[in-house]
Amino acid sequence: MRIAFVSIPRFACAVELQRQPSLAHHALIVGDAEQPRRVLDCSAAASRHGVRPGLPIRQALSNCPEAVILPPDPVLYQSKWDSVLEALDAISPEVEDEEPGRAYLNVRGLPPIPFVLSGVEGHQRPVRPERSRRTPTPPFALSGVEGHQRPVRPERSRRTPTTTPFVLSGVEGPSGVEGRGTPNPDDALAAAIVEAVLTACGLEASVGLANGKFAALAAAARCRARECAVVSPGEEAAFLAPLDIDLLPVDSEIVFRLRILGLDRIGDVARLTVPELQSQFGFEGKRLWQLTNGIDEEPLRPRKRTDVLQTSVNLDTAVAGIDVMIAIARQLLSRLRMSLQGRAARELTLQAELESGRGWQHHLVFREPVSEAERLSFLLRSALTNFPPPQAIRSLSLRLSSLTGETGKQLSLGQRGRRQRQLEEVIRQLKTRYGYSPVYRCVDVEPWSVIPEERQILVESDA
Amino acid sequence: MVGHPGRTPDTRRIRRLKSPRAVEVEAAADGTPLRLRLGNAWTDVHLTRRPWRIDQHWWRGTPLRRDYYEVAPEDGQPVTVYRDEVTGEWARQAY
Repeated sequence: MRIAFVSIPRFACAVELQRQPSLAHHALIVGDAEQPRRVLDCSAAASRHGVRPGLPIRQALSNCPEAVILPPDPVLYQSKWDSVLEALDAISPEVEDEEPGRAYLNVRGLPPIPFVLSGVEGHQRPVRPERSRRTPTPPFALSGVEGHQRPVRPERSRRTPTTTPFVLSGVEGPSGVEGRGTPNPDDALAAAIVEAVLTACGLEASVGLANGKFAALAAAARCRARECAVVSPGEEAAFLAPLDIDLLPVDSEIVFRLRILGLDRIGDVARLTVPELQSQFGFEGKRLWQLTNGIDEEPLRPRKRTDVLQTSVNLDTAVAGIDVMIAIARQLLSRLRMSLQGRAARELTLQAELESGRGWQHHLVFREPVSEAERLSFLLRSALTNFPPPQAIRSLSLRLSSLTGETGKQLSLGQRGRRQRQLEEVIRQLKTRYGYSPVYRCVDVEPWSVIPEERQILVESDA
Repeated sequence: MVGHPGRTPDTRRIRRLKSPRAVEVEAAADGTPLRLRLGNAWTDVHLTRRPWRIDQHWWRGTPLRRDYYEVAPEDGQPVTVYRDEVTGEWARQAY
């Protein structure tokens, strides 16, 4: 499967830098607001001093005393990332949202995005052609080349990658594009994705395009911001071979053991056989062999579109009292009640703009869908009382999501029925929270089979 | 833009129970396992029941022929291993 990986490394820091460009020369730490306070994200300068996400803030500060610590703004981060996802949706119908700053696109079968060249030599501004109805994203444009249809690699510059893409092809290195007779549609597509992300949120992404998720990720990892890399089909193994094993999406313990064995490059691991790797790493051994040989069968999991009800209010003056906030939240809830129309919600999100201009968010996942206004009102009150905003607020927003149809409860007399119901509710709750169910169900497939592995399978339970 | 396939892909994850795992075995001339590598150490083993053979899927063109042996170390629990007659590889498997 042809996959594009979009990467905006250190996403929270990138958003903060966009908001306050004056911090560009400082080591940045975005701290978690929850107790104990931990590092949520950090800049490259901070990480050079041993700061990493998850580290307690106190320890991070002792490692890097000159670092600037910023409180997180999850509302802004999510809003920026949502705009990126919307832009990616316009390119491909299947977009996997791994986490803010990381997304995969299925780009198989997409129509080619045209290379367009400006006809003026030395003209550095990209010339945009007429938009095609089927390609809503800005087309890739090259300028600075006299002539028309033959793409020539222009002078490389980090500042104007729209006109000067840094494109790798297979294992040919940065000069892969040079000298080709006809432009590669993948190169244009990857460059268009970089451009679409920049247009959507103003952040600089790097994009890798290859067969399989891992090769795409590795290709993007070799790029700087606003650059893209394309691995030609069939050249994944050769492309991966010289790369460091730190890139492998496997347990850190496995990477550690590979290093002990003197296998520092992906190509070193690829030369081993499946049994050799399985004898060392068990089940992971075969996957390791496949990944290092450029075979990645992990499917893309497109994000789900869900119905959302949302309303908000801007306040004339900042409000600090919890009771006032509760009253405003109830007012918002009464606005949504008509739209709810008997449906039930599984998730509730409160967002506020704080007096300082930063965002605040509190997210609730219910044990079971709730439709009753009194129950929702009670949950709102509990949320604001137990987790109040840290400052006075200037606006408040309420969002109900994971909407279901009207629900009825089938009560049962026995203890077993009640437990079954509770179990199903817990599984649904876990699935809503994590996006997948961590509970598996054993299913008989061919219980009569003499081949053990054909008898039963484990299927992710969706209750 | 590619067309939507019109169906929701089933993204539920599926795993096999009792999948075989590769294992290193030293066998006698008749195929009976003599030593088994469990973890990092080689262990002498002996048969605890008669071997049995599975010969399946010959009608599909991808035949599956395995000779199973239940063996046990001197002071350990029995382990089921098999030799794949098609590839010649040994594997350990819960039977």
